[in-house]
Amino acid sequence: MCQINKYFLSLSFLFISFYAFSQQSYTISGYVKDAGTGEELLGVTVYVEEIKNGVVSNPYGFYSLTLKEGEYNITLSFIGYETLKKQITLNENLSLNLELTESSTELEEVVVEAEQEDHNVQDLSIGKSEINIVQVKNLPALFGEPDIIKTVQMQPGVLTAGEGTSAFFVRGGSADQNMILLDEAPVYDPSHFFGLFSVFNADVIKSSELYRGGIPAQYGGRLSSLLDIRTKDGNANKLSGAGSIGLLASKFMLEGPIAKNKSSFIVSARRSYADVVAKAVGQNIPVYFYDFNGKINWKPNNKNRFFLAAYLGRDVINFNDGGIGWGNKTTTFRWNHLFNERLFSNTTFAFSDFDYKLFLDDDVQGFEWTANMQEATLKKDLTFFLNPSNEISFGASATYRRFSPGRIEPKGEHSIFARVQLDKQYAMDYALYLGNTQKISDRFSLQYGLRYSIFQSVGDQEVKIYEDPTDNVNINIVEIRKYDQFEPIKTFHNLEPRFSARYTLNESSSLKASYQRMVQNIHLIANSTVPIPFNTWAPSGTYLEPQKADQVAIGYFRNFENNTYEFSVETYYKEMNNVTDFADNAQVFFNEDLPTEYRQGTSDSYGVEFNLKKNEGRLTGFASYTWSKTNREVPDVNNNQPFLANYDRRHSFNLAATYQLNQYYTFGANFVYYTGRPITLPTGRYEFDGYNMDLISERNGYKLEDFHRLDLSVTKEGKKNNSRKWKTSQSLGIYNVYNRRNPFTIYSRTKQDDDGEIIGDGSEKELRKVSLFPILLSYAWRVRF
Amino acid sequence: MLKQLIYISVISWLLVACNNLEQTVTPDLNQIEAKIVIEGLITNELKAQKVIISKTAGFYTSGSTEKVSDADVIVEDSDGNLFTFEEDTETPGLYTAEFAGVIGKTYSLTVNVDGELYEASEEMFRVTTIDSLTWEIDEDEKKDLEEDDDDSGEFYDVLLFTKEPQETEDYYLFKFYRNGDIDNEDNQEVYYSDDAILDEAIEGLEAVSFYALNDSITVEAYSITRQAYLFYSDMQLLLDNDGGIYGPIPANLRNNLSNDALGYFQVSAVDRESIIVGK
Repeated sequence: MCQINKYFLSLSFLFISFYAFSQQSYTISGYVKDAGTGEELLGVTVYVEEIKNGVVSNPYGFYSLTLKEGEYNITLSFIGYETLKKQITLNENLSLNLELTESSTELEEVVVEAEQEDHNVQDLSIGKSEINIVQVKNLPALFGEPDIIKTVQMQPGVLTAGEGTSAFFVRGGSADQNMILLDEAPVYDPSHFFGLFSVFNADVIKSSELYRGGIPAQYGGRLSSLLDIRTKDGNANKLSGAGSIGLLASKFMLEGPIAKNKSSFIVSARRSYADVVAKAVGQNIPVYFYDFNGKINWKPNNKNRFFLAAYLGRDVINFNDGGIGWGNKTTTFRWNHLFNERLFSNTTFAFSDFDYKLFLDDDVQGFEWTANMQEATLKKDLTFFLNPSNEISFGASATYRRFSPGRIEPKGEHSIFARVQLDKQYAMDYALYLGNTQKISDRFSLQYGLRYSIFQSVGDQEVKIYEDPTDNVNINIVEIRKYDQFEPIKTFHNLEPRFSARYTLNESSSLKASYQRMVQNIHLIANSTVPIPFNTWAPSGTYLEPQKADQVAIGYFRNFENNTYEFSVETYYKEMNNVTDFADNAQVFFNEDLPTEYRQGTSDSYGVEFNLKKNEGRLTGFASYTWSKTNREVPDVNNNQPFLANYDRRHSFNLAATYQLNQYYTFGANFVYYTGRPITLPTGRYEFDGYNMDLISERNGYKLEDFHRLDLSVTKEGKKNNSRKWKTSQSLGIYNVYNRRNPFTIYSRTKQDDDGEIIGDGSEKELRKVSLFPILLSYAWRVRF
Repeated sequence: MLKQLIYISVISWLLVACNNLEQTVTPDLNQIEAKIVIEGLITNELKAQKVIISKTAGFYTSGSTEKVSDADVIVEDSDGNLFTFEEDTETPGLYTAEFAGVIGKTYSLTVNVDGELYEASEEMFRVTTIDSLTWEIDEDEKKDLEEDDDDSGEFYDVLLFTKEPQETEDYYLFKFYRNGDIDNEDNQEVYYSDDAILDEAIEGLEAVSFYALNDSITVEAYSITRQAYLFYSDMQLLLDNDGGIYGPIPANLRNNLSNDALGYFQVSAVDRESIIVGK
């Protein structure tokens, strides 16, 4: 309690310091929208010339400015939109909804751009990447399916385990340490086809932001990053849509008004059809995925706005007599309410579900294995726009989670399997936060906040008490403690301070710094490098302590040539405690004594990240370079010696660029160069009962070869067809242009010939390097109306 | 079994995706000092019980690994009876002693190689007996073979019947023999099980292969300890390893031997059933 007082005390000092004004002030507030589609725009800079200060529209497109009585010139600027200047007279509270027009895509020879916004320099955010969805669609994509996660993987400070996975690793954190929010509902497994594609359909995404540091106090729950993806609200002005046919998947999106300017909807569906195509040519690839996004909103007035969004996605693999399936379901209900011009509130109810199922239809060996987890969150976020220099945010949330790690049902009349249900686990999670974004002077701004999180594992559950919880061989249960429904098993209180500061050096450069503490109370049960859909999660409790991370970062931000180029360099150091890992050879699937496999250790990561971005003009894109190193030290792993994290890479370079030649042709290119990630290879072999076994001497003692790849694409826009009012485009892509066999993994096996027949007496072993994708062509046809 | 299904499905997808994008590579591997490997098996059958002592070899070597001669190998049971193993005159590294293990007793192994001691200890549990084996024609397989013009005649299933005791925690190792030869996918598969998700009635569990008429099939069931079960489970994980991308990071097998020795000292009761397909 003493610690809490200390934090709140220092916070209240800061608040007191700005309660010193009392002149007659009025508030101008409203929503910023896209003039064409009626979509609210978030992150729009609303700048007041007279006070050389401004605000940024919040995630729901709302802004509020409280100023002294007078005449003001305000400027609204946003990437990809014409800058809007407006003169206002403020002698009463003013409600003003503003519309921005998208920059013309038809480029003129001499591009005269209005002053670009300089939020790279002026914004407080450090360690944040905005993923430009328009650009994602123009970049080359695997099988022609634009994928936002693949662009996330190219951001500075982000590493991948290789291509073909949706896992990403932020500043030394593992893949389960990323909070991936889709309309504020967490998505537990973002992968389709084991990660070839992500679950996010590019057609419905409005914005996506990756925070690898400087995470506001509003967010918590994961150690390393926040990927905040928000979907479109649906065109409020006219019925429109888009569709595409690609090599592997097709999709269709429809959006439009329900009641003009009051209500609109968007629906989208996508399905892969490798299975259908294969069947047509007599092959059998019984694998497919589908997903569905839907959203409706009702905006009766500025004071109240309601949104309902849902996502449903599933992967299905069918064998002759069995199958596998997994998927996410999320639902979000949101209510934006204005208590007054200066107090904005958002209430969200989000529900998220992940489940998987494996089954075998067999009279004797038939079974069905299911596992799932659900969470429901109710949260309230409030923003008080005190004055242009202070924006106070505060709120609370409560989450209920249910983990059902596994259940086996016999299937078939004579099944040898029994009905077994692993103990379900439950948890309650509460958080309170308070934060302020404060402009101390023209040059100096601060964002600070504190999150107080309470995590409680609760009954109904039976907790086994082990004589030695780290002995996974001789399981000795000394006691079974029974807990009733909602009875607390173990409670964890944590204070998570967050802080960022920006000091503007001059018009085009600034220095920023941040510190954050993050706490994670749910733990992925996986001992592989890349999570797979069959992994389950467990809450902090008797055997798992909350994972904690402290991170400091400093950065230099600089814009060039009238803000055309944005440059930043950041360096960070992150220390993680209680990182959840598992004993060597841990049995992570259907283990009744799973706690005996838990091993929590420490990890540290440090690195330097360079980023250069060009947002405007014919040529747009970004280049990022990251140098980083991540170590782990976990008891009972690698003989208690420190080892490099599985996803560690020393160098990572990414380049993504699109070039708009004219109104018809756009070219895209990706180039990536990564030094190899660590891998565990055998150093010897030995014989046991006819088996020829590997001898392992060190975890992650070797490195895969370097990974590099170039992808190219060209998109051709069809001529506008005025009579039919639809527009088509076609894109052609080449993935892995110079056909490099990039390393994905190396495994050992008994030496075999090309037909899989063992060579010789079976005593010889070999290492096999697996590459995922050779040169691949892709094609997609898209239509918009 | 379930774990394998997961890995196989992941790996099979991987293989679909990688479509021959595999090649043999020969990275430089560190030279590690050879370690002692002990393979011991004591059963309840009266016979020459065996302990084999060998050494690890470099990964890129071929041929049989080096065997260790002139070791002292002693097994002591929980009643204090000592069994001294003698090295076979024809097969270096093979040590034998003739006796039958007794269910309920604990057997302790001591191996002395040039002054270095390696020890292990295991209890012999009773084994669930195989009630019977039967055979039947697998119609699906027969049809598949006909479609492939395969006249091997290997379309018979051998079915196993037993009752799994539900009140005890049991672990099993199975070995299958076909016409006298071990049948384990060229030493790539281990057949082991715990009973956590097994029901009592095991009626018609298929043996590992399809068989032809007149094949002689023998199934052996070994009782094993949990430690041995984990050893074989780790073994299967390592045999199926994918380098740790979707599967676990490769690691050495957990075993019951001291002093960092590899291998296992297994003590098992055995039950054996045989059948000739078509008879």
